[in-house]
Amino acid sequence: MADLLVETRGLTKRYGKVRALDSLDLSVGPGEVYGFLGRNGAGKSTTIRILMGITKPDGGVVRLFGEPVRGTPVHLRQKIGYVAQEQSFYEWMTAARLAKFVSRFYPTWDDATFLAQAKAQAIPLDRKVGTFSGGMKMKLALALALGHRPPLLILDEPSAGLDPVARREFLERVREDAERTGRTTFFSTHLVDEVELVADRVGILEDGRTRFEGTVEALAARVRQVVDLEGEPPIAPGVRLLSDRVFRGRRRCVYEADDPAAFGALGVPLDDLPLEEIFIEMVRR
Amino acid sequence: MRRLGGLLLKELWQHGGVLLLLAAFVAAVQGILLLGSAVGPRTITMLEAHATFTRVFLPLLGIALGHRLVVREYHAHTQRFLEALPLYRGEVLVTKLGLGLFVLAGAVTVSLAFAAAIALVKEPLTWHWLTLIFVRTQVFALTLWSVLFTMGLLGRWRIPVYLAMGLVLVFLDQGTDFEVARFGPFGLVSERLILERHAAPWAELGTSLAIAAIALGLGVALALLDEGSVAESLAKPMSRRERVAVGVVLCFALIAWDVVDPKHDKAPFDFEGDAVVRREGLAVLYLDEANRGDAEALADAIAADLARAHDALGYEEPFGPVHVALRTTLEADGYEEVELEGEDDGLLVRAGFSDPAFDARAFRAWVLERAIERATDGRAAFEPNAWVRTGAAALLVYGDEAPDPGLAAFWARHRRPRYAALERFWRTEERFGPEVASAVATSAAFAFVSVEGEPAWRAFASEVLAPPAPGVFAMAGPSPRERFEAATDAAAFEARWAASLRTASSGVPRATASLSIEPEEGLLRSVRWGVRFRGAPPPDAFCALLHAPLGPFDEVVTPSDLSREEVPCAELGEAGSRLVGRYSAADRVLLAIELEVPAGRVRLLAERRELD
Repeated sequence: MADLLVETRGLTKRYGKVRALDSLDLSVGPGEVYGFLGRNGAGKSTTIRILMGITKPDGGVVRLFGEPVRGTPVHLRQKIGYVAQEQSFYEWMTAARLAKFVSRFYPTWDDATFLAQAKAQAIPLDRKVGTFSGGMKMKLALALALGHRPPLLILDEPSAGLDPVARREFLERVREDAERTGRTTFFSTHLVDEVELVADRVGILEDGRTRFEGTVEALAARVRQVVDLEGEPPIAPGVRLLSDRVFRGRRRCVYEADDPAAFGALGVPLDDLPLEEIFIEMVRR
Repeated sequence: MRRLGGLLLKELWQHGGVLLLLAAFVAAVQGILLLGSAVGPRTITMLEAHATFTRVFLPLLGIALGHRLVVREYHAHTQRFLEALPLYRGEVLVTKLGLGLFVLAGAVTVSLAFAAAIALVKEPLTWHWLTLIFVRTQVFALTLWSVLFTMGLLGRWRIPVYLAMGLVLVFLDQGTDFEVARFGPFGLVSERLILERHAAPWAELGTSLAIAAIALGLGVALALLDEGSVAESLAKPMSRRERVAVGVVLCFALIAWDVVDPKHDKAPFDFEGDAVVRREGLAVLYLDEANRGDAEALADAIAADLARAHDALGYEEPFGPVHVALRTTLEADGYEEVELEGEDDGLLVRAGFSDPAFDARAFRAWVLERAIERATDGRAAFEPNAWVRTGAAALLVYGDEAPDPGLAAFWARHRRPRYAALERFWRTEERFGPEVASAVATSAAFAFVSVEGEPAWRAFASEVLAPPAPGVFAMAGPSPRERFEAATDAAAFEARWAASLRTASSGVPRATASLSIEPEEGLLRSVRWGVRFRGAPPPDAFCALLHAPLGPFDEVVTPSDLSREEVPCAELGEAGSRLVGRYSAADRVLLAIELEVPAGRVRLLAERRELD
């Protein structure tokens, strides 16, 4: 466990009467691309704000780079590249000046890396940021986050608000960067296809708790369905019935098992589900 | 330090242009203020330019800085970007606080340096004095910036809070005994900023630093509270509901103020107790039964004077209530007017009317002058009108028995009796004394009557001393001179007046006064003064030095403002007398030498001087 880059145990956070995080556990190992999946309001941004030290947790443990923290100290934040959901840049600065400003806060800043990222993403460095589109701002944010060559990259719903092409380009760049540098990447999203496209491991967040954490393959193997079943749905030890619904004239029963071998005891033929269906069945109330 | 440097660099990138513009503006303002001080006839010291800059332009500069450094950061949500960087929130605060303070403190330092450099050419500046001014203005700048910085963090509520603070200060100043101008930071930059040369204002400094500490504490708490979310949410634009609520609260506050204003509920002033003689619109307090007779006689006479004046001047409204209080500690010819706050309180005067030497007619004329001033809303005291006020009061009180014009004859030794001299009533009073000014006006009024007759005088006086008509601009209509020239043949009047004064005996011995300023230890200055008579000094005459410090502006100095150093003239000798330890170099003072003889008090000399 000592080589985990990000680890939380029993993490809790309240905003007044609202419990944003309720004993959240997650762990991200070195070199992983971790998709943090959850519905809107599930607590993804709160988790990331806690990891970045912007918000303090009410309880639980956070370890970054193996170091227990409460309010992430500056020396650890300097090892994290962060792309926020919304970019609140100084719009009067040019991209080049913004990079110069940001570089003052990272001892490991490398102009060449930033310029390479900017060139690869066709970011106009001499233009004021206020004239950038949302997609261009996101590209600039990624270039800035990678400019100091951080061992850990955290992205908070980076593709929200981007058009499909820009979204795809952005995700491909994140994946390519992770494969090329071996950088640990933690990104949150509510879009399952992004996880399928980019992530090695996935964590599903539901009402501030970890609903699932594992590889994408393990997630796919965990949930199966029976279609056009007649009579009562069968039950078996270690298998939970997630839903029993009729949709467009066809009945569908969805099961979940921690151990996929347990599905055999149901005695009926089971089909696979698309990842998006699995996510919906797991977090739908 | 690298992170603070980065933040500072960002602020300079962002606000550098505006700061340069502000610096140019400040330099221009300071230049104009210095020029104004250099050419201003009433300038005491060139440091006045620094005081004006600190009082007026520093707060404006502070508000602009607060908006640029604090409000805009939160309004544009760019503080979120800073939060995401590897920084502590405190570092952002320290940078903004430090930069703002540096600019404000730098501005006042430069202002003081320029003003002092120019003042040094002519003025006796001391390091102690400059240090006092420096400390006062630096602490003021710190307090100002602490408050404005915190106000910036209040976001959309800062304007309502500014308004509320302003209302509270005005209410405290006007509705209570609390003197805002002397409190804490306001006291630091009051007129004493450049006039106080020796004493450190410890109380004001302490209060100001306490206010700065509290404001900074609140500001830091606001910025850090709930991980900065409080300040962030305060920065959101005001909703329509909030705007309506602020408007309602503001209206409510103004209405509430109007209702609870202590001046409203206060009953009009009146004497308490039984020792009061009352007539219509008049009360005379006599304190002791032994004085009841004098009080009744005085009350009857004043009531009759007021009634005559009311008819003669054609007033529609009665005079306000007149209160006369006996004050046995006053000299027989020393009268006092006491300022009353409320509009319905009327006039309150004090006099020693139980003194056997008390001149009741002189006092009645003086009371009538005060009543006419109140009835005309002060216009009777306008310098070109004042002689008509005094003359009218004397005519009403003395009737056909013209008072002795002796003191006016004394004045005529030095000035030609012409109408132009009557227009300079207050200057005549300052130079020759109040008794002489009164005698001049009275003699002129009697001369007018002897030329044109009493009806013409009444018509003229009632026109000049008319109460203000509603809706009519005060300065509309003919000038006092035009009224005078329309009412009389000026040449005939001046000839008659001059003749009446030529034939009168002044009763004032011929004498000349001398005055010189002598240096003492350090910056102290003494005033040497003397009176030389033609022949031996009259044995019953008193000579006196009158003196009063002058403020930054030239205003009328009333007799009660003057201190008096009195010596029997016979004891004054050749060397004269010296006033030591009261004034120092660069002080502005009014100095007058007065001679008191049985005919009255006359000033032989009066000067406004800035001591070298």
